[in-house]
Order: sequence, then C-alpha cells, then structure tokens
Amino acid sequence: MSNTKRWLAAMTVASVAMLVTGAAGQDGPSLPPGLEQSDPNESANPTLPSGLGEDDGGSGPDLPSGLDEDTDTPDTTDAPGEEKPALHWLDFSGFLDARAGARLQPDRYQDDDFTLGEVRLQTDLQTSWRGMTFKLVTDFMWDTIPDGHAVDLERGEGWVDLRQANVMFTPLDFMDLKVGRQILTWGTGDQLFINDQFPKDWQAFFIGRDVEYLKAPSDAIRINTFTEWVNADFVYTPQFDADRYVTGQRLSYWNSSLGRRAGQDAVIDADRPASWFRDDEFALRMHKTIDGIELAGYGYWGYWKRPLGMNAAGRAYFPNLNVYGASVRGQWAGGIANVEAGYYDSVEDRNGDDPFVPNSEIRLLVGYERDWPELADDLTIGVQYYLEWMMDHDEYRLNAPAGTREADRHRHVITLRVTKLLMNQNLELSLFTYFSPSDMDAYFRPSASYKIDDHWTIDAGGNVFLGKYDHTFFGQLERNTNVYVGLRYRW
Amino acid sequence: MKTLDNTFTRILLTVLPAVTVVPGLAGAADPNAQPTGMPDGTKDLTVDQVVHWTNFRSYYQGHTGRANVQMDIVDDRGQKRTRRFTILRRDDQPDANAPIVRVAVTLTDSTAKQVKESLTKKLEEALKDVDGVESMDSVSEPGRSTTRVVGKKDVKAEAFLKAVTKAVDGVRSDLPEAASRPKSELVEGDHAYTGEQKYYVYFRKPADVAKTVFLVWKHIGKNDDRWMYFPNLDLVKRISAADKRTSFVGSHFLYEDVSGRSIDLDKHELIDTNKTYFVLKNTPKNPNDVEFGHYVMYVHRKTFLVVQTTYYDKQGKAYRKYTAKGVKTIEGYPTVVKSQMKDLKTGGYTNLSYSDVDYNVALPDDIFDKRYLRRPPRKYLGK
Repeated sequence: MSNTKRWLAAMTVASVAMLVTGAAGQDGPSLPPGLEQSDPNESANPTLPSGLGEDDGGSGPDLPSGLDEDTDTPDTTDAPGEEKPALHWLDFSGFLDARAGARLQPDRYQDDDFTLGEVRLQTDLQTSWRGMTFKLVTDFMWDTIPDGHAVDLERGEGWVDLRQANVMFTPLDFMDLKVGRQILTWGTGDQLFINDQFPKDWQAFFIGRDVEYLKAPSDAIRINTFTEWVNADFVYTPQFDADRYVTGQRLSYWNSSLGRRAGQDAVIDADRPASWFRDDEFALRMHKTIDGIELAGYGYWGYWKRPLGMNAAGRAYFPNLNVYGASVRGQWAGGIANVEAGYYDSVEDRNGDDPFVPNSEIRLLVGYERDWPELADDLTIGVQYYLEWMMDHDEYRLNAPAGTREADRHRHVITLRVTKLLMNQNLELSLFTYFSPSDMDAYFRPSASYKIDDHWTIDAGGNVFLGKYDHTFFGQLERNTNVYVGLRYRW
Repeated sequence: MKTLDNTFTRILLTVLPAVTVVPGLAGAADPNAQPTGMPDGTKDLTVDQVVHWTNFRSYYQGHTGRANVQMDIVDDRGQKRTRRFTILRRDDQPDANAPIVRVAVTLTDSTAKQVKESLTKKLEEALKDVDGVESMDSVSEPGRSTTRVVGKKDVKAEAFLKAVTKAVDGVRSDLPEAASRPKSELVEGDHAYTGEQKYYVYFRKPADVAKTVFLVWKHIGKNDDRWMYFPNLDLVKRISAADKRTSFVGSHFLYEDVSGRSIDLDKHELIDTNKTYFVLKNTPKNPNDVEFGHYVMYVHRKTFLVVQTTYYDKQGKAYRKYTAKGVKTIEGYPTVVKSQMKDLKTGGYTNLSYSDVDYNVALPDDIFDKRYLRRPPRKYLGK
C-alpha cells in the first residue's frame, strides 16, 4: 500500500513538473519588458500618435466597423449564428484532482508518513424543471490512505462521497426552499465559526484538500423567507450531522484520558446521536441590511459538533448545545469590518461542575480585511481577533480530575491572512496564520496556486502546527505538520 | 480560502464595473441615440461639452441593460485565457428628474489644501441647508474649487439654481478677497449617472469560477457595496474595493477602465479637432494617485464614442492602448461591441466582446437582492 502512495505522490509531482516546464517552454522565451518593440508604430519615443498635430482634417485612427463615415449605421441585432453562453437544461461540470501530502516528521502514533494520497473525480449535475432546480454533486475517490471503513456517506468515508443531492424551489413569492443534501454556511468569520453550526471537515482542512472541503454536507431542509421587515432562514436537520473531526485514524490528537497524544492506538469511537427526527438540529437566522450594514441574529438547538463529552461508560459523545448570537458586518475605512458573538449554552452542564461535559462559553470575533494598493497591487490583508471565554472556570477547575491539563478561562486567537496575486492573477500566494498567545500555539497555512490555463491548476502548500504544550488546540496537532501538492483539471 | 476567496474576490471586484462598459447599459431613459441636450458633434464644441458627452456615451446609456461578455486574455507568451459572464444592470432611479448645479470658485496661486479650507468647506457648509439638496460632492485642486450639488427628484431646475446661487453669494464675504465670484450653473444633459445603480454578474467560464455571482450596489458619495457568492461553500462574502487601478479579472483592462474614471479627476484639453475626431488630452490632477502621466483619446464626433485611447507614462512614453474594434447601433444606442486593450510593453492584450446586448430590459429591482445570489434569475440571465 505504501508503494502505491509513493507512486501516486511521484506521479503527481512529476505531472506538475511537466506541466510547469511545458507551459514555460512554449513558443520560446520572450524578451523581458523594455527590450522589445514589436510594433514600430508603438515606438518608445514620446511622439504624438499619428494624426495628432497634423492639420489635414480627417487624420486619426481608422474608424471601427460600424462607424464608417457617410453610411448610416443600421440598427442591428445580434446574428443568430453567434455562439451564446448557455445554461443548458442539463449542466454538467466537474474536476479530476490528484493530491499527495506527507508528514515532515515521524509520528509514533501513525503507521504512515503520508497524510494524503488520493485521486478524486467530482461530477456536478444540475438541471431545472418547472421552476425546480435539481443538483447532484458526487465525489468518487481513490484514497491510498486506508481509513478501514466502507462507504459511509455521513462520515465521508470510503470510495464515494455525496456532496450535494437536493432540489430547490420557490413555493411562495417570499420563500425559497431547498431539500436534501446540501452545503450550508452563514456567519461573518474567515475560517473561524461562531454561529455557523453546520458541519465542518477539519481533517480535510488540516491535510491540504481544497478549502471547499472544509464545509461538510448536511442532510437538511432549508427555508429562506424574505419580508420588508426582516429575512428569516430556518434549517432543520432531522438527524444530527457532526463535524468530520480528527479521530486519530489519520491525524493524531491529544487524548485527555490517556494524558498524552494518541493516534491509531486510540481512535475516537464516539457515541453518535443517530435517531431520525429525535436527534435532530434546528438553526435559525434573522437578518437585514440597513444602509449597507448587515445585521443578523442567530439561534441553534442541537449538539456540540465534536464529541467533547464523556459518558459513564467512558465513551466520547456529543453533549447537547444551544447557541444564541448576533453579528454585524459593513464597510469601514476602505475595507470590510465584522463583529460576531455567540453564547454557547452547554445544556447538560449549566453549572459548569461536570468535568465530563464542556462548560458554557461566550465566543467573540472581531475582523477587518482590505486591499492595500498603497503597499502593492493585488494584495489583501485580513486580521481577526477571536475569544473563547469559559463561563464557570472556577467550577471547572474545582471539579477537573487530578492530572488534567486545565484549559484557561480565556482562549485568545489572532489570525492574519496575507494574499498576493501575481502573473496576471494566475499565481496566488497566500499565508493564513492562527496564533494563540494564551495557548502558546500556532497554525500556519502557506499555499501557492497557479492556473496553468483555463482548465489546469497546480497547488502546493503546508499545514504547520507549533505549540509549547501538547494539549492545546493547535499544539496537539504538532506531529501532523505536513506539506502537500495537488493537480486539478476542471471542465 | 485561496482560489475561492482571493482570486475570485479580485475578479469580482474588477468585473463589476465591466458592466458599464457594456455599451448603453447605462444612460438616458430616452430611447433615442440622441439624448436630450446632446449637441451636434460636427459643430465646434467646448472641451467641457466633449468631455461630458463622451463620458455619458461610454458609461451612461439606457436605464437597464443586459449583455453577455467575453474576454479573451492573451499574455506575452501568447497563452490565451477566456472569461465569460452575463451582466445585468439597473439604475435605481431610472426616471430621476433631479437638477444638478455645479459651483466653481477660483483662487489664484493657492494650493489644494488652501482651496479646501478657505473655499470648499465654506461653500459646502452654506449649501447643505439649501432647500431641495439631495447630495453633493466637491473637488479641491490648486487654484479651483468645484462642488456638484444634486437636487431632490422633481425639484424645479431654475428654482434650484436660484437657491444655490443665493446661498453661495451669502457666504461670499467669508471667502478670501482674492477669490473669484462663485459661478453657479446647471449641468446639462442626462442625469442618470448621478443615480445609484445595481449590477448582477453571473460567471460562466472558466470552470473554476462558473456559477459564482458578483453583486454590486453602486452608490454616489460613498463606497459601493459588493458581495460575492461561492456556491461550493454556500458562502456570501463581502468584498472591499480600495484598489481601482489593478487588473480586472486578470485582463489588461483595469477596474477603472471598465467602471469609468471620474471626469473630475483629470484636467482636459481639446488638443485637436479634425474632420472625424475630437482629440482630448487628459492629465491627472493628482499624479501620485495613478501610474500614467496622461492619456489621449480620439472621440468620434458624430457619436461621441471613444475610438482610441493611448496611455503615456510619466516619461511621456506610450505603454497602453485601447481601441474600439466594432460598433453596432442597438435599440438606437451606438454601442462598442468589440474592443481591445493592449499592453504596448509586453505585447499582451485582451479582446472584449459583447453579445445579446439589450437595453431598457424590464429587470425587477428585487433580483439585485442577496436572495438571488443563491438563486440565479435564469429568466433574465438567459439560457
């Protein structure tokens, strides 16, 4: 198996190299700017354009077709034979993506040095019928990193991952409905989420899959309503959709029961609420834009999205959680500013004295992003401050089992995004950094992505985790630090 | 969020204004090619008239519009990339009947800062209480202060001019003695471009940006509101727009080429008038804000369409050239349907073409709402 992965990695790298050198070698080298004058008429001399200053009446550029002198321009309509972009009755698109990634250091809890080794085919089918839009997005996977599981559409395991399968329609003037498997997002954070309790795939994020995979699908009914006073969105998920979190299977994590990092030796096998219509989730957003300022209020009634509780049998489970929050977003000083807050009501531990259920928290996010033409063209910088504030920290400390690595009352995180586009915006360099001064840990996401043409893209990047301690949010992932390379063909 | 966030953000940022390039997507409610007040270009005109009507023709014909746009971007190595999108545009006040008065005062040998402090601020203070004022904007430049005062809809133009004149005369004693007497005049012509506009841009090609939507609410006197929708993440992202002189979707057109550069930002000289063309030389008032030294436009006299624009760097060397390659008269509006922007240094260029151009389409206001980011209005986008 390991050979297969090496082969896949080598093939990916080799194809990337071929494409890069191939692209660069086309049509021979070109002279650098300033060394050539392809057209003598466009001479470097500061001469006036032809016709300027001459007193001969009709000088100047040739008239374009349609402006010929002395002919009345006919009122034309577009020729029927012209090619027109079309929304076909059946819209078919997709991509083929090969991707390989490896740890930069050995991890004693993982057999495999590879974190990623896969070929993925995504097909995206869309069609409309009687005002209804049907969408089916399916990923077919050849994954060389065994997770030891058959196809599981809920967890996204196995050779097929159903991303979307839904129908959208407008039953009433003021209402849009979407039913089925779908991707859901709301809130104002940049790769930080407070009121967005829809499932995330953190594992995909940490190993270098495309950022689109950070959002895992929900099986849900979404109702959006629009009125003069306020818009309201309701999402009902009849069966709880958890995050696709780090389980130890592919990436190692801090195991608080063992008091050390763990991986394949202690894969989390959580007790998952799975009864339809009983173990359900309900999310609500009320929103309105006033004078360019976007205001929103949120509610969520469901579960912690990761198995942060432990039941009497010592098994991880998903405790109940309600979240109430609000956000504001608008323009400020040439950029976009946002503030978002949420109260995490940990229903099963409102006193904060149960060591096996997370405490309630207040979470806060303040962000700002803008372009900086003053510094460079095509440069975007974004900063965020994020706070998790444990409500009953004293109770928590009092009741924590002996030997527990205690969390602080406040967890502060600062993020910095720097993105620069080069080469006619075909090359994108980006660095996204999370840094926590309270946990003393950090997570760096450098990446480079180049569009070879309208179909091919190559990208490479890293996921670098650093931490002073083994048990903090990013520090626990330190041994998973990896680099990856990917190649994608889209149509 | 690499590709999603940034490349695309940039694309959207820049694309939106492309809409205005869509000929006639802006403009007069008057469905005739000769909008009210448009002078006969075959006669001799003042530089202000040429500048005003050229600007109008380029960016402000028709009160709604749709077009399919294709950009073929060819880089210096000859590699071609293609962008395709559909643009819908709607002016919020298509029948705005609001008068505009321009107030100008000169003060010899003054700096822009002195003008702002001693003239512009005082004029604005006096004007803000005038009955019927909807909004105003000012430009302070060395030696000259210009304020454009927009009246409320349906305010009578003559009465409005009188009220404005009275107000500025009232503060004359507060202005420096050397200042000229404030001159107030009604701005002629179509006023559509003083209204707010909304754009909906639906991307079709290339595949990595297909189905992405860019929504813009263009405001007067404050920054535009912009959103982008990424369907794969179901993400509605708010976009900032501080950066106007960067490439538009990776093409050789700049954001400002497509959205239109405010005529107040340049000094205009009519350096030649021949049988076919008015030749305008435009020099930036604040040279540090832009990368060019000046640009020269050939304006077709009959139609006020720009046929060629050449940009010169600060050493006077030509480095960028825009050329209109094809014109059609659509629903009475002369419309540039094919054009090219060329980088004279590298040889790279972008060809821009429009098809299915339609003016004064019945586009309802609500499709420019965020609701339609998640639900593209197929009926108006076309098959």
